[in-house]
This record gives sequence, structure tokens and C-alpha cells, in this order.
Amino acid sequence: MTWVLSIAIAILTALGAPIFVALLAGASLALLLFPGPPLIALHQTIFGGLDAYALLSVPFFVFAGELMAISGIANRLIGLVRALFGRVPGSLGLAALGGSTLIGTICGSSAAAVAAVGRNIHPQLIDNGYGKQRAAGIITSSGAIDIVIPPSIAMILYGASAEQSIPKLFIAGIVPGLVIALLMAGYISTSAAIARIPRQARFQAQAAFVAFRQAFWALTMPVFVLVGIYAGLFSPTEAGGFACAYALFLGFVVYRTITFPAMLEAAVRSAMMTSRIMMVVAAAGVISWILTVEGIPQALIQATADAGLSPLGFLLIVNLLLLAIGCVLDPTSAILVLSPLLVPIAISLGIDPIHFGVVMTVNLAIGMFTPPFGLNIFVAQSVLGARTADIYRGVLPFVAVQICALAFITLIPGLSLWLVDSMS
Amino acid sequence: MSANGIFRLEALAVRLIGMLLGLGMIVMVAVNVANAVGRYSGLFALVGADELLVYGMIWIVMLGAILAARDRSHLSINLLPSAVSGRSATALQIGIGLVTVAVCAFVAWQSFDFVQRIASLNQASMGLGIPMVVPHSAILVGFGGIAAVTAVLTALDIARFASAEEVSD
Amino acid sequence: QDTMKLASATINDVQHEWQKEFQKEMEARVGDALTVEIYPASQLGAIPRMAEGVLLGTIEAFTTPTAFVTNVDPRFQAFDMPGLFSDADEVSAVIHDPEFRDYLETLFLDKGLRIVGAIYNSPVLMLSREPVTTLDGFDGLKVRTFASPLQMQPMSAIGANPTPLALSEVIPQLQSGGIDGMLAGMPILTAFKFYDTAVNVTDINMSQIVSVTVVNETWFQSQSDDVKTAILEAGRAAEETVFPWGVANVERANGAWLENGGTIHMLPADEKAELQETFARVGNEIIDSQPDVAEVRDRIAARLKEVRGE
Ligand code: NA
Ligand code: NA
Repeated sequence: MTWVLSIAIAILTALGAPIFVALLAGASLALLLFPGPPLIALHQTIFGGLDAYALLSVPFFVFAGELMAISGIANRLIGLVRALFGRVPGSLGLAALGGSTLIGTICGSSAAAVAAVGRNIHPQLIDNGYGKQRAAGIITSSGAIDIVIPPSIAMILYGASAEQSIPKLFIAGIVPGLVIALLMAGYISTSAAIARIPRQARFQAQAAFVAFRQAFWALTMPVFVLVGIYAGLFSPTEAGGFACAYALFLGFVVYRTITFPAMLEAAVRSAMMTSRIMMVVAAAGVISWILTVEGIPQALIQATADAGLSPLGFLLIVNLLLLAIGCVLDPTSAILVLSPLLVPIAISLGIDPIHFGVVMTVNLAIGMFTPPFGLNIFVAQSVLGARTADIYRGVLPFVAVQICALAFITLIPGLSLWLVDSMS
Repeated sequence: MSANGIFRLEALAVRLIGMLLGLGMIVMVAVNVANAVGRYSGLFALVGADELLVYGMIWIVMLGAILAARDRSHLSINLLPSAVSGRSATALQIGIGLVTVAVCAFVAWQSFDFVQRIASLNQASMGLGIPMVVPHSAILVGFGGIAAVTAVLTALDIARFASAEEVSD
Repeated sequence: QDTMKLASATINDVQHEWQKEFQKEMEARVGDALTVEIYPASQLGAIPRMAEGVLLGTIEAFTTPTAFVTNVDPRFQAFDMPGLFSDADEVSAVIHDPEFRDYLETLFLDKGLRIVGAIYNSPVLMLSREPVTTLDGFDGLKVRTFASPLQMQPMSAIGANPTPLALSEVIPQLQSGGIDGMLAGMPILTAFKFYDTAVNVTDINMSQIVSVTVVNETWFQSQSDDVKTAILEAGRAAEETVFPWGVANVERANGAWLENGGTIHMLPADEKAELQETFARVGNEIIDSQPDVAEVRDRIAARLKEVRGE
């Protein structure tokens, strides 16, 4: 059954069929050939895959990204980064990484970050000589940080299903998120220097001041969203809606760069982008459901448990398992299904469940942009209009960089736990 | 109706659905903001706002998916399609179109079954109390629409493929 | 050989315990004639999807607090009427009374559901950021409730500001002060380690959560007579076995709450009585307007009268 499922999906995606069609073709075949759950489960699990409040951050942040582009907010912010750090090799790549990390602190979904940042910085990356592959790689892989840095939907779900403290998980994610960001920054900068990507002229206080004045109101946008979340005005999911509202305020009132027809057009584009992303999310939900009722993840974990591993061996196997599972399951389903099974084994081996939650989250974050499958890859391809081949080649170094980060995070529990311990 | 009339009607429908999606997005932002403001100020609670937003999103996703099928812009891995050209590309597109029609029609059929049964059970949502048929129908409309649109596109592809046979290759 | 997928939203609580007990009981009764598979922690989807799943037969059974299936049938509200039960023993005396249990088993057959488990869960308390020790303390408090009149109106009646909110938003909002508190049972509060976010619990004893396991009737009827009998017997045996476990679990949760730095506040006796009275009055008003729900409540109330020796 699993074979029918995976072969059908693999062949159809390789031929270039829409991802959701490939996934649903596999699911339909599996349900038809192997009697079990009634066929209406197809409808029910598609609907169930979409009926989740936390997913609302996707349309809202995609729309916010569009509005930042058409209002000129994004360009002003990028202009400021370049005026300040233009001398640093890879400054624009770092701006993309910084943008993703910042969006990560206000939203829990990495697909939304890839869409919002990609929409705004990708054209400039190309114009500035980053090349198709490097530009695509930076955008696609940077978004993953979002589910590691709080707030994070993946961690909320881990906390709920593994019975761990969600605030502690959030705190535990901060340092590992920064570790990933730092390693990424190091790589982006070094590789840009090696590739001799043109740098800006030397730093000029005058120009920096002008850029700052031009970007002042644009800078208040992330500030507004962050303050709103931490002051309790709105929740992380609602933050996306407020980001849209604030961008509209800046565009209509302050900069007067948005017109009503332009807003409507941006809304239509955002709706279409949301639709393309969510069709994959919904179809992946069906696959997860079938695998779960067939007991596939459960069997894999049983095999892991029976292998009699050391804590380190267990963590390594789990890393491999999760990277592989990240190919087919979306992080949401993966966490719901796997954590109740994996966490008791982890605890019995003396692994701290908060540390384990961070390891799981980082793993699944990497899985989202590791070829061949990954939601962020599909999103990037659609937003950037890039070819799959360019994205595949572009992300490979970043997969390596983030697996390095994962190794640190796995081997040094202190990275996750130090802040948690020092705060309690 | 003339072929030209049909094309114009289709263009109008696409524009209308597009507008509906855009306005839907804007309304969702407004509801989201109003809900948070009401809660924070303690002045009003929009009971069921979360349901309205999620069901709104589901309808937007499904209607958008029909338009994306029409533009052939659904997310896919385009390694192979961008490597082939000419007649083999058309043949590949026809193949993918046929699979898409089959899969989406099958899902729509199952969805029809589901919607009928949920309608007969008179289920209403928890917060808004709206009949659950309303959000669930989005799946039926979406997949039915994708199947229909793709069927037409694929039929046109096949016609093109057949007529080109006499000329090229 | 058939499979019974048994779903629930939680894990390691009394619902999960009932499911494990039921699985054991079934194995002892029919061996491998039926395989019971347990899917806790929303593995098969969110609560509304599990409810629809059991209605339409994509899953065979679902264990849930009655408050989550009131849209399936409003009569489930009868159990959540504020001020109805005063403690666990009263709940047990009603739901495990053979006559009432027979009535309950088939009450929802017109919806295609049969009740095969009736489980005492826990009392509803209020978690808050700031301590609430008097009735005045509820004034203007933003308390997360379900979007249900039975939770919202009683909270309004005591001056609080009922605030329905998606579950995934509760912790961030509680942390930032977007909401001041929430209604929940203690086992949920300790399972999700809410003491890391807010430490005050007020024992408002609003209602007693009752969980039920509903099974799809069409699937149930498709089983052999032996299996049918076994399911009914195993369900009742499991609920009797887990009742003391559930009571002890609430005690354990209370202990864990205190151990982790939480506090449990009581209102002064006269104010507590006033609170219960307000809850019961508002609850009755809501239920009186729905005759079919009132009928179920009256059955419960009648049995309670016998128990209390009134
Ligand atoms: Na985040
Ligand atoms: Na992947």
C-alpha cells in the first residue's frame, strides 16, 4: 500500500503534475486498491487539512508581503540595509535572511515568510548579481527559521501532543534559531565574497541618514507588529492581519503610494498564492492521515525503539527519520503523529523533552526545503518564478549549513536549555 | 452562442471570481482586525470570527484553485516540462491534464457524497451556527471546477495536437 | 477481521485511560475478532473532524467531552449545565445508574450514534493571571470560554467578559495579557503545563465535565452479535474501572499544580454559594428555552434528587 502510494506520487510529480494532484492520485489509488476507510475520507481529510485557525497566517502574511512591495515599504527597508551594510559581502542576501528572521519572530509559518520575503528581495538579488541559483537558495532556506524562532505553530503542537510547556519551548527555540541564522549569515557572506558579488560603495553617513529618513515609517511596521504581539493587542496569527492593515495605512496615508485598484490587485494575487500553497497543504493532510491509520509512522518508531540505541544514537536515527519523513508529511501532521510516540522513548533514554522538541522542530524545518519535496520549495518556485532545477541546486549548500546547525543543536543540549534554565 | 461570445463570458467569469477573491481577502483582514480590537478593548466579542475567517479561507483556496487550474499555475516540480518542447511537451501536458481531470473528478464525486450526508445530518458550526454544508461545499465546488476547467483545456490541447499532426513533425 | 479506530483529542488522561481499558476488555472478550486501535492527541484530526468522522463512519468511535459535540446534537448540553452536579460522586451516581445508562446509550441513535462509554472527567475551574478570591474579582476579567452560551452567559452574569478564542492562541494571549484567564479542567491545565504561564486557579466548580465515547451505529450494527455485546459490556466495564482512576487523576493534577508553584483559590463560603446559584439560574434559563435539552436535564435532575435523598 505504501509502495503504491509513494510510486504513484513520485512518478506524477517527476512528470510535472501539480503536486496536489500527484498526492491525491496516490491517496485515491491507495484507498481504492486497499479497502479500509470509506472513500469519503478523501473529502474529510482535505477539509480537515484546511480547517485550522493557525493556517490563517499564510494568507495574511502573503498579503502583507504583497502590500509591502506595492507600497514601497520593502524597497525603503532594503535601501536602508544597503546604505548601512552595503560594504559587507553579501549584504543583500543578509537582508533576505534578516527579513525572514524578523518575519519569523512575528509569524509561525515558514511558507508565508518565503512568499513575503521572496516577493520583495528576490528581484533585487537577481539585479545585484547573485545569480538564479544562489538567490533562490537564500530565499527558500531562510524561511525555515520561522518555525524554530517563537512564536511557532510547530512548537505549540509539539507542546500539546507531547505534554510539554509551550512557553519553555518558545524560549528554548530562541538560541537555536539564532545559531541557524548566524551559520547561514556566515555562509551567505563568505560565499558572496568568494563569488565576488559586487559590493556597494564605502559607507557614507550622509547617504545612510537619507536612507534612514526614507525608511523611518517603514521601520515602524515590524515594530508595530512586535509590540502588538507582546503587549497582547493581538495574537501571533492575528499579527498577519494587523501587518496588512498597517501596510495599508502606510501605503494609503503616509506614503500615498497605494491606490484602491492596486490594493485589490494585490489581494487577488495573494488569494491565488494562498490557494496554490494550501492545495498542497490539504493534499499532504490526506497522505498523513492514510499513513497514520495504516500505522506506518508507528511501525518506524517501534523499530527505532526496539533497536536498543544509546541516547546519541537515538537522536541521530531520529534526525535521519525526521528528515526523511519531512519529505512527505507536513510538519504539522508529522508532529501530531510522531511526538506522542517518540517523546516517551526520548524521556526513557534521559533526553530532555524540551531539547527533543527543538531538535524535532529544526529537523522538520530543514525538511521543508530539502529536495525533492518540501512546501517551501514549491512556494519559492511559484513566487520567484524560478525553475525547480535552480532551486534544487541553490538550496543544497544551505541544506548542508542547516544540517551543521542541527548537529550543534542536537549535540549541545545547552543551546536549547540554557535560556530555559536561567529563566526559571 | 458564438465561440467569441463564450470566450468573452469566460473572461468575465474569471474577472468576477478574481474580484471576489480579492474582496474576500480584504474582508478577512477587516474581520481579523475588528475581532482583536473588540477583544482587547473588551467592548465587543465577535463570536465565531475564527470560524468565519477559516471558512472564508477555505472558499478562497478552492475558488482560487479553479483559477490556478485555468492558468496552469498550480505548484509543481517543473524539471521535466521545462526540459522538453514541441510535440512531446504537448503530449506530456495532455497526459497530466487527463490525470488531473480523473483525480479531481473522483475527489469531487466523493465530496458530493460527503456533502449530501452532512446536509442530511443538519450539522451546524459551533460558533456561528451556520450549516456545515456551506464550508464543506467549497471542496465540491473547487474540485468539480478544477476537473471541468482542466477537461476543457485538455480537450483543446488534444485538438491542437491532432491538427498539428498533419502539419509538423 | 475488522478494525475499530478509537479517536480522542487528549492523551494520558481519563479518556485515554478508558480507551486503553476498553481495548483490554475487548481483547479478553473477543480476542482478535475485532482490533481496537487507539488514536489519542488529535492524530486523526481536529475535534470537529473527529465528530464528523464518527457521524459518517470514516472513524468508528470518538471519545470526547460532551461540550465538543453539542453541534452534533444540542442534547449533549444537558451535562454541561452549570451548577448541575456538585461533585464526582454525583456524576457517577447518575451516569453509572443502570437505568439512566440504558437511556443514555440509545439517546442519540437518531443521529446515528450510540454511546458506549460514559466517563467522569473533571470539574471546570478558572485559570487567571491575577488571583481571584472574591466575586468582585471577576469584574471585567477577559476569560477564554467556548463559543457556547452555557459558558459565555454564566460568565457574563458574574461580571466577567467571556472571550472565545482558538485553542492555539490561548497561551500566547495569556502570556501577553490579551486575555486574563480561561475555563478548563485541572488535568488539562497540568498536562499543558499552564503553570508556566499563569499560576492562579479559582475553584469555581462551574460544571463537571462528562466525557462520552460515541460509536457509529451503522458500523456497530454491521458487527456480529457477539462483538456487539462485547462492545457494550466492555464499554461499561471500562467506565466503572476508570472512575476511581479519574477521581485520583484530578487529585494528582491538583497536587502537580501546587507542586509547580500554582495556587488554588477558594471563594468565601457565602460568595461560593451565590456563584453556584447564579450559575444554576443562568444555566436553567438557557436550557429551559430548549425543550429537548430540558428533558435530558430533567432526567438527570430527577436521578440526582434520589441520590441526594431529597
Ligand atoms: Na516564528
Ligand atoms: Na523535504
